[in-house]
Amino acid sequence: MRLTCPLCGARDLREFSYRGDARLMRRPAAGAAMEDWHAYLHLRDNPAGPHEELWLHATGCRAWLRVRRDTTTHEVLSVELAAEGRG
Amino acid sequence: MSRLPSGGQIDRGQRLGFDFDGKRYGGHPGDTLASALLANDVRLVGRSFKYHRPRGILSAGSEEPNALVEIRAGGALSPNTRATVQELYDGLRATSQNRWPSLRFDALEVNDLFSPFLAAGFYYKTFMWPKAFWERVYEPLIRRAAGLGRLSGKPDGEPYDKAFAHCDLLVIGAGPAGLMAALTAAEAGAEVILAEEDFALGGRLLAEQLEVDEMPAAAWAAATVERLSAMANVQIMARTTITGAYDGGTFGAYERVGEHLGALPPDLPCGTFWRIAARRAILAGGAHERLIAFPGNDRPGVMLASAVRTYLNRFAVTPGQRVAIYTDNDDGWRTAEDLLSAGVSVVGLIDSRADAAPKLDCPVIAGGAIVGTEGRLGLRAVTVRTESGTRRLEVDTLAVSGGWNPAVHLTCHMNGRPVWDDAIAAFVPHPGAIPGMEVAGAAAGRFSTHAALEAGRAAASRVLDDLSIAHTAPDLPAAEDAPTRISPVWHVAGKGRAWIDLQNDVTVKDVALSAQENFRSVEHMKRYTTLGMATDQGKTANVVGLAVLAELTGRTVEETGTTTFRPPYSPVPIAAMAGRAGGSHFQPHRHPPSHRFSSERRAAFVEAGLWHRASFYPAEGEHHWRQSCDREVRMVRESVGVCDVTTLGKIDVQGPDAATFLDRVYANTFSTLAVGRVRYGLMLREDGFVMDDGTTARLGEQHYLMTTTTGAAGQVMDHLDFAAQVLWPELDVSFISVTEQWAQFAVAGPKARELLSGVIEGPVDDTAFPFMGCGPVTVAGVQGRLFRISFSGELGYEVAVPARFGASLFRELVRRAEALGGGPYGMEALNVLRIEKGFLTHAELHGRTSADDLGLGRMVSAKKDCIGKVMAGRPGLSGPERQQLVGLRPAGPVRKLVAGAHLFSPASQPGPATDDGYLTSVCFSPALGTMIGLGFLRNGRARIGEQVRAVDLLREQDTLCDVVAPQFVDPEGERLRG
Amino acid sequence: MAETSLVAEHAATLFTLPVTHGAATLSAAPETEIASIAPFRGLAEEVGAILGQPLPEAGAMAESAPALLWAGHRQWFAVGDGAEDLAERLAGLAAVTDQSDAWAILRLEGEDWSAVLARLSPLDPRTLGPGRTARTELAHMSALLVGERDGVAIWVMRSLAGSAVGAVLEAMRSVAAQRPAL
Repeated sequence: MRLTCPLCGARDLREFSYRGDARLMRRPAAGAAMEDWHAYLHLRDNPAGPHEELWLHATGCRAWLRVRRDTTTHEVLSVELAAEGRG
Repeated sequence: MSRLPSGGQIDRGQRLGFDFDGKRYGGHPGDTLASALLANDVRLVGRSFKYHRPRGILSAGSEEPNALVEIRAGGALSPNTRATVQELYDGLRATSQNRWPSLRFDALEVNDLFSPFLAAGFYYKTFMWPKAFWERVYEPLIRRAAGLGRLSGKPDGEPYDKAFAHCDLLVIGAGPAGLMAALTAAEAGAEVILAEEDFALGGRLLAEQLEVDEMPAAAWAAATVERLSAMANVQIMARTTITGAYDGGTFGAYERVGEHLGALPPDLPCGTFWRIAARRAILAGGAHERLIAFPGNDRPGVMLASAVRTYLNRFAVTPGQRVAIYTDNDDGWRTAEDLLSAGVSVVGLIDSRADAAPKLDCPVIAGGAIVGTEGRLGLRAVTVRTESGTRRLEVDTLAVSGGWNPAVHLTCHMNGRPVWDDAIAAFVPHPGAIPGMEVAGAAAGRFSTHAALEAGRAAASRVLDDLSIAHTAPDLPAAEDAPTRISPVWHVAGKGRAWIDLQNDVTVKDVALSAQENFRSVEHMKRYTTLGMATDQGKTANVVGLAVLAELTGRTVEETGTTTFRPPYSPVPIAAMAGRAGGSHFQPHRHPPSHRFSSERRAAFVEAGLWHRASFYPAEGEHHWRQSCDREVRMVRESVGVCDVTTLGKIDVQGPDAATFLDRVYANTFSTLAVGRVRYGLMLREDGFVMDDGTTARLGEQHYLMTTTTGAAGQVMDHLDFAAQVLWPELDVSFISVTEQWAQFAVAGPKARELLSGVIEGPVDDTAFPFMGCGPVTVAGVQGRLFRISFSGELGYEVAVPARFGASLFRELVRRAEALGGGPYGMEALNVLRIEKGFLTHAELHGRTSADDLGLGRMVSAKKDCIGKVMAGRPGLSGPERQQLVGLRPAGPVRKLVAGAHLFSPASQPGPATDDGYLTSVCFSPALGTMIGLGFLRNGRARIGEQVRAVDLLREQDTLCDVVAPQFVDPEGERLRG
Repeated sequence: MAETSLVAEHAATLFTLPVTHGAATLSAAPETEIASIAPFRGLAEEVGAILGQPLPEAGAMAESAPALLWAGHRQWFAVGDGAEDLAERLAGLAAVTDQSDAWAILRLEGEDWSAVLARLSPLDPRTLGPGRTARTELAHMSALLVGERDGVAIWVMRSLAGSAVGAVLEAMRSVAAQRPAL
């Protein structure tokens, strides 16, 4: 498998580390209900199809990436910097 | 001798000597072990898996199910080596497998007599009871009786490489389709890798009496290869099998670099496991001829018709002197033609099709079938049944063609299911089964030479268009374009067993039994009979098996479906996947600046992550680590010790929002820390459990230096990157590891200040450096940093200098320490010192402890948010029901403590229901003269003063302990404030 | 204050370099000043103005004084003369951190450099030419590769110098042994 890092270009899987559902990007705000925290930490969709997930370009540029990937074909649909447009 | 007087692609000028089962033979460069054996009239080469039936050579390629031998010796022993792939080298020694005492007389041939009892599923039915016999009797017996080659049991000392390759186009197979595809793409300037499993390039062109471009096919192949070799954008990889197709255009490949050499020259790897990243690929891996399941079809001398031609044309060997051919398609006729032109007697051509009328100068039996064979160790005769009765033909070789199966294997590696094509009676690849991969030539079911050349060129053109590489297609060389005509015969009913899978000894009867017992799904049949589950993955067997199952269950092959193929396409030595990363090269080693000094002092080393840290420094006369450790502990408590703590993670944090950022990632507050001060910090995971701890210094208004534990440095860096990039990208903060930039040494003990005063310019007293103070210093003329922190409980400092000066400073500090009655100390002493003080490591911060468990609940600031704060406040993460950090001291006659022991109330019966906690860290405390431990005890803080038992049932330890506070030495911390 | 002076030790000092096997040579680059630069929010242009050279794009480097190398997500390295006083020159504009001692820099050169690299790193060597940098993996280590005219500079963490040199030499010997006999 290969991922195209927006900074580094197409790279081998071994440079990356999978870090779970991209839901982790949406941390509950201060004062959120315990249910929201529970959902944030523990509840995950398990779609057969496109899935948003986080990858770390661990032995590359150290960017956290938001990857859209089809869980049935493993096709990578898009790769963006997780920080992009958020700061 | 069966070597023909002339012809073949072998070097007759050179003779290579080799042994098979201890007997000496000769061959030539260009031979495989199989062709050389046949040239020496060796036809019996192995015994079968289950029935120990005598077996010969079936094929001339990697699909070979029978001719598996052992080569090489010792740790390099290579079992199940396919004689049809192994190149001959001078001095090769091969041994047959799965026989005892000898190949010609195998005692376990008795299995064959019991074959009625050994059919599919016999394990499940026969070895049911008594249950106790399963592991002790049945399994060892079965394992001894069955199986192929045996492993040496020794480490494989041969070197292997792992490597990576990149290209625009990977062409898999160098037959007519592959060569034409590679040529088309290469001439357009694309970066091409042409991978071929064989040591010679050309595929079937090397094995057929054909003409391409008005020259012999092999000559055209050689000329094309020469053209390609001259091009800088082409990498030709011979002896390289593409073993797997994976996501995103990556392929696994195994290159046999040195397997064809007698002795490996120094540094040459035996093989290389490649990962190839290709923008596009063309599969031109050809097709495999298949056997027909007729009674007695497994005798040595029964051979695939195409293999007979390969041996004749490529190796100039005739597999026999009296040959019959049995075919259900036109391709079998070619074998008769080639045999006749080589002057070999063709006793009969048996074509299953009644209307077959080849123009051949040999007896033709149209509409015939083979219903039996004779010959114990080699074929002597076959029985042919026609409408007019049966005939016996005396033959030594039977060439069989049951049609061709495209080599669809790689197209199945990403879940693609091949589709049935009635015209060729075989499965062809599902289009688009591997994104970015085209299939061309025989692999796509187009069997004529012309069709293969054309398909190769067309596939390359499509790839080039797709990659927007301009090109002009090369001219298509003229070649034969014979149609595929086949009326498939899958099996022939008759007396005796008809084999489908030769390697796993699966017969038509086994498939029938499977169907009869209702294992009718192909996947069930496969597992019930083990058909296709041997090392050859049933390359010559699967389709026949499916067709037989289809017939027996009254379905078409299409309706029956197919099982899938998985990587590797052919076996890969596991050592090749490890590459050079074996033994001490398993992972890289990190050495701190003191490493050379420690080695000179004969220190023992301990791994902490990738770091190799000094564990203890044995002094003269010390024979046990405890002696050294106890001495080093006393040294620190009484004078001064020096320890390399460079390995702790050091992270330089800067930016306008640095303070805010640290407040959010630490449970406690850092924005209030004064410049020039250090604070102990506790980091939580978002789920509320403790992740790591360490000290963080404030070097400037917007500048902090964070430290992490050695083991968690990487994890913390990932976590900080997550927080900065994913959670709060709006914060203006930057950080970079400075672990490698700074050498850092702990100097601890009552004489620590005295020692440092000698190397540091300016005062290091309580005013300049109060407890938890820090600042820049000049260390022997070098700009460094000093931190007044302690992990030992003694007056302690950590002094840092740029890493290039680290080795030199460490020696200087040790020299001065020794002059003061101290010296270096290692990890063992460091561990004792911290246990005595109740300081934490990852033995306690093991991912299941909360701040409250550790007695640090008040560190979680109530005034601000931080990662983990909300979840740490959940009910159940604090309070008396939790297991809390306590100290433990032996209180009875048993004085020993072991880490991992569980804690129980003195009166309770040890067991899961009464489990009250566990010991995480234990040591002998020289200060207390007894073993001590840290552990977690249910409601532990309230139970200080009570007694518990520390029980380890595995190590048979049961120690009555006093529960005490986790600080054993200087609980008030007077010494470290010194 | 006793008369003590500390001796500086080159990161790759424990190894006898350069070494040549076949058509590849490994040598140790001389130590040099290295400073990491991470501009504060919105100040990258100002940083570039002071450096006299915009910070290079991802995967690129600029042969200025000091040379500027892209070194990762929001990170650049200034290398050589002019890197030593950057902390002062860029005060308030960027996080500047001394990295001069953090790296062992090896130079792999010769006709076979890419064949050697192929046995160590998954990086496509075609993406690495003069003026190009890449963060990648090398023999299970995190590395920064800098393209050169006839080879590559390999940056690894100082503590890993021994493992890196060992792995590169091993790959060099393997490639040399596989060179077709002349």
